[in-house]
Amino acid sequence: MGRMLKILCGMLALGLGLGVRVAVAGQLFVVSTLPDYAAIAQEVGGERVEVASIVRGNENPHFVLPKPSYARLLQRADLFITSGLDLELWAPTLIDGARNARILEGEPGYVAASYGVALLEVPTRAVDRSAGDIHLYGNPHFHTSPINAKKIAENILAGLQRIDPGSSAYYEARYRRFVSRIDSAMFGPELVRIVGGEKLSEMLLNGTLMDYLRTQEADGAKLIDKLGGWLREGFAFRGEKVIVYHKSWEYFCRDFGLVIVDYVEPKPGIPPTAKHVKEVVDEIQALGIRLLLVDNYYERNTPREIEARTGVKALFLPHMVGGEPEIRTVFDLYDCWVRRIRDALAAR
Amino acid sequence: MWRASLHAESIGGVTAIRLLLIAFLALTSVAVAAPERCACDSSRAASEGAANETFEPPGRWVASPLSDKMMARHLPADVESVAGITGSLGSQQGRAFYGGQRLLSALNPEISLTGDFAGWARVPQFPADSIPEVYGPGWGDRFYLREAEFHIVAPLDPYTRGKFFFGISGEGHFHLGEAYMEWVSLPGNLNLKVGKYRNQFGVLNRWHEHALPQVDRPLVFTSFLGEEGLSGMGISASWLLPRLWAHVNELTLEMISGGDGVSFAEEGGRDRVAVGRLKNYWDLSANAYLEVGLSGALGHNDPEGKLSTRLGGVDLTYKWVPADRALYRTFELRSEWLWSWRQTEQGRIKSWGGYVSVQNRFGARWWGGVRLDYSHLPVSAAETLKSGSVVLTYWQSEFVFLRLQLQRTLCTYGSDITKGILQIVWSMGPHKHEAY
Repeated sequence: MGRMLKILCGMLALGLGLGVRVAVAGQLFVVSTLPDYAAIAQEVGGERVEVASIVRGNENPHFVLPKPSYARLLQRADLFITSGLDLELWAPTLIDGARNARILEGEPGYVAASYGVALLEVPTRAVDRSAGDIHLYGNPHFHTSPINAKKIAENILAGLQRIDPGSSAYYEARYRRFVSRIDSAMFGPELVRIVGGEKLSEMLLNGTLMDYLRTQEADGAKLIDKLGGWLREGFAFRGEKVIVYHKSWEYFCRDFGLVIVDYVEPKPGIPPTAKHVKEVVDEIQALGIRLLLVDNYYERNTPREIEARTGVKALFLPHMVGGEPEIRTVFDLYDCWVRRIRDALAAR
Repeated sequence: MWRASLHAESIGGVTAIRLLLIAFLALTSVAVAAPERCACDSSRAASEGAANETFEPPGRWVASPLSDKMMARHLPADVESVAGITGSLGSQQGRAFYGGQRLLSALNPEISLTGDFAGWARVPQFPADSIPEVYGPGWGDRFYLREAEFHIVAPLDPYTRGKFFFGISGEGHFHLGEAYMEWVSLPGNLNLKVGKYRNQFGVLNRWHEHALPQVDRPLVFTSFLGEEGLSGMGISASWLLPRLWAHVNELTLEMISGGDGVSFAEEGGRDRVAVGRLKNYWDLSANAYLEVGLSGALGHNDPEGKLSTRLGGVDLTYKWVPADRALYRTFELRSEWLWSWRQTEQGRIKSWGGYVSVQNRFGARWWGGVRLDYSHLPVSAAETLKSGSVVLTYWQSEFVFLRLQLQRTLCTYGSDITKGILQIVWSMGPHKHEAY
């Protein structure tokens, strides 16, 4: 057994020697859970970062195999971006497997994208799983809101500045440009110039924006007439009642005024049952609902069945960047959602 | 003055007088100082009360259900004044303060519980000890709670984490599954674990019973590593190696005291067992991967430490999970093979065994699978067991599944049997088995 101990010690020394990380000069390596975070990190980090995401755009972020190759990815990461909520419950397994002390929670290389985001559906009482696959901290699909994209970018900026203070000004300039682009794309450049993106975003979040725009004037015209961007396009479906498959569209629907009436899942994470599908069909027929939104990683049989029974339009949408090949940025993603929903309803 | 008087006293009367004087001085000093202290505390409490809108006490405070009279009866006057309940703080009446020192339950560890229930029938009935059984020899056709397993996990400090897994069987037998602490992210891409743990020999030996893809462990494991597999108390080191021939190479080396009681001496003995595994992982595509592992274990099979056993193992896992349909489709092929070289008084016994398992997910809730087993006994290569199992699993939700398994086992040294097993596993709390 003494020989065995020597072998063990030898292997320990060998492992320690082999395991030393070789520092790579140049770009920072940023790994995110969701591809949307990676896309935003690329916007903020520019050419000074190399980004990768674990979840693919057409993959359900709740259920990801914590494969060793992902741990290997994280082992090289300088910055790890996650929602920081109970969406990616597989992430701790990868962090443990990565053996990278820089990206542990609380360390400079760990970013929780949700920090400062006004989360929806935060439980106000004790919860249990009789309510389905509930999220303890609130709805974690906050990346579906363009307004929240700015907050995500702010958190990523903080992370990048922390690990690379020498490029702080560079990152901040890119962050400001990203925020400006989101504001312009969301509200239209003219309205942003008059009111300011921050104030517009704040009013959108607290539900006062439309009243404000309808009552206020500038340059001799109502501000509502100066509204542009995605919100202007979204007027085509503002107030529209919709059914969605899973509770993943709350933030988008809040921003664009869509009213979620029900879900294809009877409870979050519980596959649809025949009884619940019947209830949804009855609701669609009773309320004249025209649209059913489905993340494109969910099964299509049930939405197709509901479509066939009611005439509702089942719209299968990419949920994240990369969900379809041509969607490479968050701008592509929000563009896609607004355009397809508008077109789907126009065709009804 | 009292010092002078002490000098003047005889030795015999000194002690009593000194004590009296000290007591008197102590009492008078308290009487003089007490009003000042109370006044100070009252003013501080008043200022805290004035800033009540923003002040957050370290613990919690609640409005007392006691009436003023009851409070006066229950609380002595000095306590009231110190607590800031009386006098000038009229608006604070009815408020009782509690410290946070006894209310630290938020630091309790994460606790989960898994129930593993089964019922089965088999034909023919036969003497209980003639064949290794899923649940140990002697169990007849009946319902059985295999284990209620508790999982307790919590960070210990910024560097380490503690994990405890213990179970209670239907008969009330306590079983400590694992109890270890681990350092993650040590220098050199190293993770270190100490305590009692399941060894990284192959793949399924590491898994707890409720997480297995079939009801039972493959015959090769129960034959060579015992009903509960290879586990023990010791130290484990795991390295994520620099990329070698595979996309991921990981080396795990472990040393435990004792062993499984079959190929090695009993767990907890003074003898040690060395275990190692080299994991080689390849991403074949975005949706598929291949993992090949090489395992080895070395120890003694007798309490005296004279007769050695060497085990070698090869495992292979292929898994296909389409990213956009991961909830509905998965195919998994897994096979593990084990070779044993066992030293006995009569000479060396070479024996081996293995299994092939296929699992296919064909819906959000349904899994089907097949497993084929072949195994020698470690003490006799002439005695073999062969088995075929068909498994159907229904996932009611992420936390409850029901499983039906039909199994036919052929045995060269006893009766062949056919079994039908119904298993139900439920999980409470946050624990999830993160297999990949």
